[in-house]
Amino acid sequence: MIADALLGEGVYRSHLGGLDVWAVPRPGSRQKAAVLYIDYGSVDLHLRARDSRQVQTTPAGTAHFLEHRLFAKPYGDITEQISRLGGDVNASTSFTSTIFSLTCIEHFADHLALLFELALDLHVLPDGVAQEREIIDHELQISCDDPEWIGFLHGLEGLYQNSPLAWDMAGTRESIGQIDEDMLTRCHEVFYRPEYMGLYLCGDFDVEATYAAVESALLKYSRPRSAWDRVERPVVLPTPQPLGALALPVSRPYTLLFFGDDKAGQSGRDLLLRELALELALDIALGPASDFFAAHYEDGLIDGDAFGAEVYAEQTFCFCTVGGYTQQSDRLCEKINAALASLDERAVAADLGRAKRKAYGLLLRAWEQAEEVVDMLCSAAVSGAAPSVYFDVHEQIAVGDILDVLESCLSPTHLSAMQCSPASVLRPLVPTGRAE
Amino acid sequence: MHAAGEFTRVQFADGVYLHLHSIGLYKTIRVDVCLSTPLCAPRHSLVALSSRLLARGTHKLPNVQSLNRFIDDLYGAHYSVQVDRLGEYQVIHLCLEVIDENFLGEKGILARGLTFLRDVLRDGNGFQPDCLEREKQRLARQIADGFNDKLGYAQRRCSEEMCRGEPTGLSPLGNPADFAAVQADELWAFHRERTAADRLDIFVSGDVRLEQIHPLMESLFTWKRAANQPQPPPQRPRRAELRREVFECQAVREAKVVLGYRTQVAYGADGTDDYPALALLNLMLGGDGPSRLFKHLREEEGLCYYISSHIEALSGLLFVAAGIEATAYPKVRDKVEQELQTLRAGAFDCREIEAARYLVRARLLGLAEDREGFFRYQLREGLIGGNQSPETLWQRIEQVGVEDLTRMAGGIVADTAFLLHGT
Repeated sequence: MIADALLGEGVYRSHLGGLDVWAVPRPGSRQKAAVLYIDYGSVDLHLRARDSRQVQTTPAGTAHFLEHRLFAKPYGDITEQISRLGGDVNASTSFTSTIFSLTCIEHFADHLALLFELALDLHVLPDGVAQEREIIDHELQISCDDPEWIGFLHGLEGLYQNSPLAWDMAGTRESIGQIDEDMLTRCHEVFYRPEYMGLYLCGDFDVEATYAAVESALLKYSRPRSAWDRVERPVVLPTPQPLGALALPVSRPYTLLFFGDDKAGQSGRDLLLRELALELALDIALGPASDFFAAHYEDGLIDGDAFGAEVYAEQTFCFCTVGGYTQQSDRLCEKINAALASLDERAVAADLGRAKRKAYGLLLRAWEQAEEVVDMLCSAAVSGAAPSVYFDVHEQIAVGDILDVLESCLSPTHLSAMQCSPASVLRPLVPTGRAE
Repeated sequence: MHAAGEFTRVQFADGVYLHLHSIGLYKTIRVDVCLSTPLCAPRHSLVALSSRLLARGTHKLPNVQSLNRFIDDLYGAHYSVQVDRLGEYQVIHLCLEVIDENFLGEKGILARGLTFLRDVLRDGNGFQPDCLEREKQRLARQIADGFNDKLGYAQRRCSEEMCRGEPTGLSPLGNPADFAAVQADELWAFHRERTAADRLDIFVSGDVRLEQIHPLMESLFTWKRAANQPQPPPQRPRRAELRREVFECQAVREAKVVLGYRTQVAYGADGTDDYPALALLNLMLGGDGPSRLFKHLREEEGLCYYISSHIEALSGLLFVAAGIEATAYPKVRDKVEQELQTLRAGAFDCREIEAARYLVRARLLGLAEDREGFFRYQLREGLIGGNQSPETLWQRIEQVGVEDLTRMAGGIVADTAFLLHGT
């Protein structure tokens, strides 16, 4: 049934065998997209035995390992089956989710059947696990060549210290060494259950027929409950260390400021409002139209394309990053703090209209292509809200909401800064060409 | 309106084209303005610098802040200025995406946006000595930052080494060594001349009709134009001469290898070229999904972490790129050559051809709803003077047989290999 309407389109919602399904049918459009979401990410390290209540800790990187391993089926990689139908499939593991996303043009029902097979039909064999371990170990090695990512993780360590929020989603060489077939099978049984999953669909399809296909796929892979349960995710509040420094293979210094939100732990409308308030506050203080940006673009402290802010707001944690490449790390930190501190009620009120117009455009654009629509359905559902709530909070947000986040998140006491400077030899060397 | 929309191309001045994709699917209208000029040194540095100054403001919006405020005021339009290479052309690309007025309680958004783009091209305020000096530094830094993306860096270095002396070997971002000599007034004169002489393509996509947009275009984008547009020198696919290997040592953990090949195939305007066969062959070799390189080198031999191939259609080049252990380099190089050898011998599996066809089909038929992809496709067609729809190209790919693929593989010759490795 229609649960919501957005920009002239119906949003359907249903619960199929415990699975939360949101769908936006688009007659006449060719592109179809689906996201299968599993409420299981890199921070979910604990399992509890249902009988003894005993808690077991799983190795860091298990969720990511499992996501990788699910592609291996007895007949080979399932990607091959999907490309034969003309579709594309991708997977990713974040702190709190595992996401399988699909796009295709034809044979939607067949694609969906493969999507469920991908996520729900696990085949683990010892040599497959050993092989995967090597692949992931290598993946971890490569990520050391990505200075922005390493800087990001170290910054989170400054903000959250020993929380798994500061760890690489893929784990470490040591932790993945402890992942075995039993562990993967157990975690799959515990987390990959319809009640912990969501399905988001957009494109030209018949809603009822699609629901029927989903139900039969779920039935095919239904299993008894595991003897283990997941453990609820705690809300993580920041404990910022003011400054960290790193030497990395970068071309020039890279500085990122992390602001942790003291009021993390909200959901639904409150969470979306908070996310938007943070985005608007950052835009007013530091965005391309701000005095900060104008002054420091001109004096060379920041680069237009290499400077930006990002908000990460979820039910159990909330933080923002601000920064980019700069020649003067200390001065950048100082100026960002000054710009945030200068925002008072008058300054916010004077610029909120512009910032809201801009935010409205961004919101509309997130509802454009099928792929974007399913992402937005998924983010809304994961936050615990209907997609139209994004528009409601946009309409209702006021100066007070902005001042609130400036105080409880975007102020120096919530800040942890990470300064990455270039490591030793980085100038391109003279090529040593030779002819064969 | 048909679901895939309707595509129309109209010339409305010498070398000025409107490409309209009327499609009701979107909530925004996207406009891409491309000024294309043959790529050559040291002129490419002037083009790159002028593209940076275009982003600095117009006489009506004289500084970065007023310009950014204007963009935000258009409901957070997306706006960018880039300089790119497409085949032998260097392209200044302005992109603006505004909300369709049907979703707003306000009219005139598109007209304001188009006027702004015209002003950016013709009424720039940024060509002043102090702005120029800052943009020289910024651009030089942007070029240096390219090193942070190690695979992208290896790819550029391979093209540069392989195509020395050819336009394809030049970076569209220019060469920082040329920047010092550039003067603001000369650059402005140069840019004005380019806007009068170079080919100008304007792409509009969204719920817009020709009769609605054509008058607006004619009033905004017509100024005194040169009668003929400069063309890149006619290009014959160059044969690989000497196989070269170039090694570079940097602080990286994972080595990146890029192998460059010449294919002898030029993307043609008349529909008789071999591009369809090459496109299919590339997908089987190392395109997305389960390709031969991925299966054999990655899955079976574990020689690399990832491996893929891609073609540069307008230059007739094929590249294989992989992340590897440096010590595996000779083996990877030889295995890739061995794969090509199998293809040259005509050892194709029908199922593999079928799978590649499906992938191409999905991609080409999906282009109508992939704005960026559709724009790039049509710009390429425009630049070579072709008029082939994605559907027509698909029909040609459907006709490709084993003998075409074998012939294509036979024409692929190894040229330059580039290895970026750690200490």
